[in-house]
Amino acid sequence: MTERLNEDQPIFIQIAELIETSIVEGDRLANEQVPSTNEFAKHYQINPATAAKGINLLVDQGILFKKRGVGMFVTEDAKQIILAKRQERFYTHYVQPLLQEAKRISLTQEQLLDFIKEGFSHED
Amino acid sequence: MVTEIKNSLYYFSRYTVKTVLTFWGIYIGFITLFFVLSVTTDGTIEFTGVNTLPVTIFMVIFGIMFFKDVFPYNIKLGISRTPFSIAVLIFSVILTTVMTGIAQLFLVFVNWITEKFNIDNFAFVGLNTQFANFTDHNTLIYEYLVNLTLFLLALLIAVILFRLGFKYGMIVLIILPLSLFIRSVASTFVDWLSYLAILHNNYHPGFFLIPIIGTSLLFWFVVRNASIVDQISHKG
Amino acid sequence: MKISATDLNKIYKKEQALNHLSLTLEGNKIIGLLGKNGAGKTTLMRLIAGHFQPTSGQLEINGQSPFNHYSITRDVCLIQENYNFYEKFTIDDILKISAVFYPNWNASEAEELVTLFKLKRKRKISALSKGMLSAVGIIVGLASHSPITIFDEPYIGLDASYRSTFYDLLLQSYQEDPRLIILSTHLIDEVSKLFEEVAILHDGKLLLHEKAEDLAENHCIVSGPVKEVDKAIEGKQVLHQSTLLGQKTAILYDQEIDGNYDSLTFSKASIQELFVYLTKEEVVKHGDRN
Repeated sequence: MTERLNEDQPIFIQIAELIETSIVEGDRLANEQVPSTNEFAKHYQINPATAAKGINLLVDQGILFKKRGVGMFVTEDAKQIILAKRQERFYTHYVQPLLQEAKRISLTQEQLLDFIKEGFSHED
Repeated sequence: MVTEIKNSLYYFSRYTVKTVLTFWGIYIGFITLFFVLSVTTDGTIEFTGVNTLPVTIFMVIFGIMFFKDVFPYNIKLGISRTPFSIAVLIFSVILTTVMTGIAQLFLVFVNWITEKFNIDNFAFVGLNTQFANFTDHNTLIYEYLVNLTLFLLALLIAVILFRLGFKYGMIVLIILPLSLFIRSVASTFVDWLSYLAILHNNYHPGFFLIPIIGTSLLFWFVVRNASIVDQISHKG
Repeated sequence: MKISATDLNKIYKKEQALNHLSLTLEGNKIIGLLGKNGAGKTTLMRLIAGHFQPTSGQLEINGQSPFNHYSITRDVCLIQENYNFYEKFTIDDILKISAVFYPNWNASEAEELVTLFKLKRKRKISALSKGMLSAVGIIVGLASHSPITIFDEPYIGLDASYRSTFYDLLLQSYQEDPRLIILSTHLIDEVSKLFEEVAILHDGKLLLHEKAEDLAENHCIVSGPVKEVDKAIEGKQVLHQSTLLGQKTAILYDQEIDGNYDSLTFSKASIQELFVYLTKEEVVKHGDRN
């Protein structure tokens, strides 16, 4: 989790997304502990209350749970919840801008699909 | 209140110790130099040192510097103005005691040496050797009271300048000397001063309480709600 | 601790530094006090520290005026840009005096910081460079552990690396001992992430006081084709707008955009940018709405 924070989004949302990404990518498994508010504050030089707000956002969504006196842990369902959430907004966040730019530079539907297919084959 | 006064006094002592030591260092150095000169020249040159004046001058100059160097920082450190004023008064008494005391000890010491070694071309005099023959009053107490009064007066001048700035401060401060050009005011003033002059028949050490209490109260009155922005340097 | 200003005015000679200011700062938070030069920040902070009295109105800390009240002022430590210390004192003098005057003084912390900033204890204040002088101020401010600790531009002359060290120290000290810390600075970009709340003064008045996160959420930058943007922001209060090459960017504050605009993109400005747009002369009218 050494990604840098940017100005485009509120910091607490970026903190929440950093944790989500690490869960989705398998860095943090269910029942594993995530860094504390203070660790985030120190690492990113941010106000601890801001870090806490990001973490609480995930608690509210059932992604993290609190063990009293120990810290914050990843819930069993965390990965599922995040995947569902991110898949839901995939269209607006990624596909829409993609289509917009494609139209702007006159790419056809076929060309676009080819790109996507090519991308997937590279992954394999 | 007690904590504030104690803390202020601690601050004053830190501020003062080096200055006082420097003063005595220079002073004793000078006297020693003249002393050595008079001894080695074998009676061809005569020296007379006056012990009281340098201390008195020190008290006036130090009084004027002291306020602006100490007041803003004490307030910044959280001290309220009335406890500050009380601490200043206590400090004045202690400082005068120390300065007059050291001056006296030094005088006694130098005279002891000149007597012991029969040095007659070096004379070192203080108020007591000067006036003691003309008055029954204690000259040491007199020296003490003069130093204390002048120190408090210097503080008062400093605080008036600090508060009012140079222009308005000077106008206020000049009223007293100017008023002396009026004959009746001048003669009243001289009358009053006679109560403080040791060789005058009117003199009694108790009369010094009037200027001491007067300047202290005026000092407190000007300081008690003062801003810490120096109206002369405009430093904050 | 609770600082509350009600209808607070401060007039120097003929200049009105604070103009009917009302503001409440409370809780153990790091609060950013922002404003252009002459907005009244320093005056407010000095009133909090009891340096002088207000011309009119009230300033209270826990219900008591700080002026001449030791029970309040002993709990306030204000570190200013200049004139924090008597020039002829050494760093050692300053540390010893601070230990006497600040009830919560942490001597070992001060000691560590002196080493960290590579200061020589025997040095006189007048012989220090600007950066070293700032370091002494920072050390006293942090080690005082005062329930109200105020830094007014505390790092003149400190390089970016030492400033970053200061932010680390501030956060660490705050986490170990949460207290009300007010930080006033022009380097907003560097420190805005440290703030839990932000208060902006403008012309002696309070322009805005919000949680830093709300400030980030309550505004948006809309950009896209001129026509679309104009339609979206019609009738709304716009902080700033500019057009280039048929693309328009507008910044809205405290306003929602309703409806669906496919061709528009929405993004966020930094606190620094918001500060600039809010206080620049051409948007003064917006500030006067309070």
